[in-house]
Amino acid sequence: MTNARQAGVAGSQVQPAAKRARQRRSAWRTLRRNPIAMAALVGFVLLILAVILAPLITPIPPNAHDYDHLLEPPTWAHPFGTDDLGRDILSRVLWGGRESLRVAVMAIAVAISGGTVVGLVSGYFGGWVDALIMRIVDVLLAFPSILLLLSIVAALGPNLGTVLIALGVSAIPGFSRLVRGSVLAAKNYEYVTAARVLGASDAYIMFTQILPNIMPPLIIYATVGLGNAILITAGLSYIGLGAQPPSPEWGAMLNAGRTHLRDAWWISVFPGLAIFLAVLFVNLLSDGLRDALDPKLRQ
Amino acid sequence: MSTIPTSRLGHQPRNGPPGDILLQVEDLKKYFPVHRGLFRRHVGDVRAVDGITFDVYRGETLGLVGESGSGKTTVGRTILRLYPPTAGRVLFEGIDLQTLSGKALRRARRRMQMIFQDPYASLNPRMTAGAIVAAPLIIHRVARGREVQERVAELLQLVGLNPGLANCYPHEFSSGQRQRIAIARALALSPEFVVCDEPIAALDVSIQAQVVNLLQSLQEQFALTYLFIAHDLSMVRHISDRVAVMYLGKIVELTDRDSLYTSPLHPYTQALLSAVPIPDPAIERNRERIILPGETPSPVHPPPGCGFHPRCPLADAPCFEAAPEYREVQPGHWVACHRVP
Repeated sequence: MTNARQAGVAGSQVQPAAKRARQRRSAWRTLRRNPIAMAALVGFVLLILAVILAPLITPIPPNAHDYDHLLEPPTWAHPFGTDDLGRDILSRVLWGGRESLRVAVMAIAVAISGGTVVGLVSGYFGGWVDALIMRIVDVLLAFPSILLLLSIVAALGPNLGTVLIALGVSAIPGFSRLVRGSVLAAKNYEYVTAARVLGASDAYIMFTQILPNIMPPLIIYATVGLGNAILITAGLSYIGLGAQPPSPEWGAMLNAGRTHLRDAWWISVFPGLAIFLAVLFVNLLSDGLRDALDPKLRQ
Repeated sequence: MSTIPTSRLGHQPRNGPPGDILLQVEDLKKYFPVHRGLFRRHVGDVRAVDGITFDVYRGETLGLVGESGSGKTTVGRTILRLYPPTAGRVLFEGIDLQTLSGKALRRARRRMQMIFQDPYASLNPRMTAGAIVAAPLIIHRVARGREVQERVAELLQLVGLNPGLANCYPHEFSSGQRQRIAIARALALSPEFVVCDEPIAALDVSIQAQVVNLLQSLQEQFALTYLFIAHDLSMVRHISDRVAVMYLGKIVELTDRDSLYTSPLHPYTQALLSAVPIPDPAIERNRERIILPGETPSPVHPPPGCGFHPRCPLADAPCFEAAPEYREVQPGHWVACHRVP
């Protein structure tokens, strides 16, 4: 800004104008002033770090059995206790987070890329292309997503890879809808027309002119979806359709601790707490992002 | 600033057509369909452009004036193939643009550019000034790497901007500076023909003159041909060699600048010019204004006969019946009116 002001050659007065461009910078400022969102962001970053740095935090491998310490309540040696096979719950929660979070994040990545391409094509080209794609999306959205998930997993076999694909694919219609709506508004901006006059290809216009300008709703929707994806990954593993034993995936751990809930609560409570915190942080962060990125909600 | 002359004393207006035709528009029509009801039934058309014919000579500035809704912007956009025409042809150096597609169309686009009305809307807020000006070079692969940066700096300098500002975003510039960026982008591919779609209407009055002067000096430097769309009659008089007046999707009068402003023939042109204030209180007080009754009719249901007859002070029997022929009443002076002898 100051640079432009000092060097202003013609017209000399620099206006602080253009809401949309200003929005991005002030979005971060708004987010930083939101203590809950910032706490959630810090919490989520710490969680990710803990999961990535698991081998440094706890020296015990997640599947190492210690038959001298079965069903032991939290102690200094095992801060989260041990399960019925003598495995350290803290290591299992941290290592399990790698599975749960990786699957959720990758599933959302699949949904964003798929949904963005489908939504861009549908909204940008319009006409029968749009009608066809949106009818298919309508059908998929009308179909109960949990049923869709279950049938995909049942068809491909229960493991985390299948869950990733099923989650990602079943979230594509929602992302497509969102992107298409934003594209419908964005494709009529004059700078898009300007790019057409320059002779730009459709792909160039979609990815360099339209896409960067529809990111805010996409980011918000992705964080909401991430919370969901974490829950569903754990949920499918809990009912045995996701990670298989001895994987320390959080949902699978919950299920494993189910039989000892009365005598060894720590086996289920710590992974449950991990799921709870991860989803809470993501949801609070997405609330904060929505407030920051949507100028209409800003006071 | 120093590269732009503040006045245009050196410019000699060309009187009459210099002969070499760059662009021919032949009976161009653009209708936008109107759909209603549950089944989106086609119930009519907005006749934005309803059969217009004119030539643009190489190196001239053809002014296109008219009220809002007269279809002047649609003319510019249809010429550049942003809209497919409903009927008619646009010939650029004798080549029908409608027949081009793919590579040939992309090549043709390099030679025809556009400057938009609102420099706040026409620049992508997520791209820097440098990236905006570089975009045409990259799209058409005419430069790469260092070359792009050099050419961008050159272009920014050309339009009177400091090349050091290439990394600033559009919102860091004033409206006049933004319009200069848009002009630099339009000139990046060295076009021959530029549609200026109300390029100064969104600017402060103090900036308008600067931008018009810039456009004129660039025209002289690069032998550009302009289609200058505007509703500001005094600005059009200043910049144009010839002027076309549009009303309800049709050209009602086209002639060289001086004869249009001194002896307009069409009653609409006369009324339009009578609305221009004169910066002399004595004359201004006695100025005779022709006030047209009513509003511009809807282009969905244009009146039968001459489109202007419901508001025309001279309207007579033939005007209600048939649309007047667009004819050359004097050499180079075209009018569509039954009452002009």
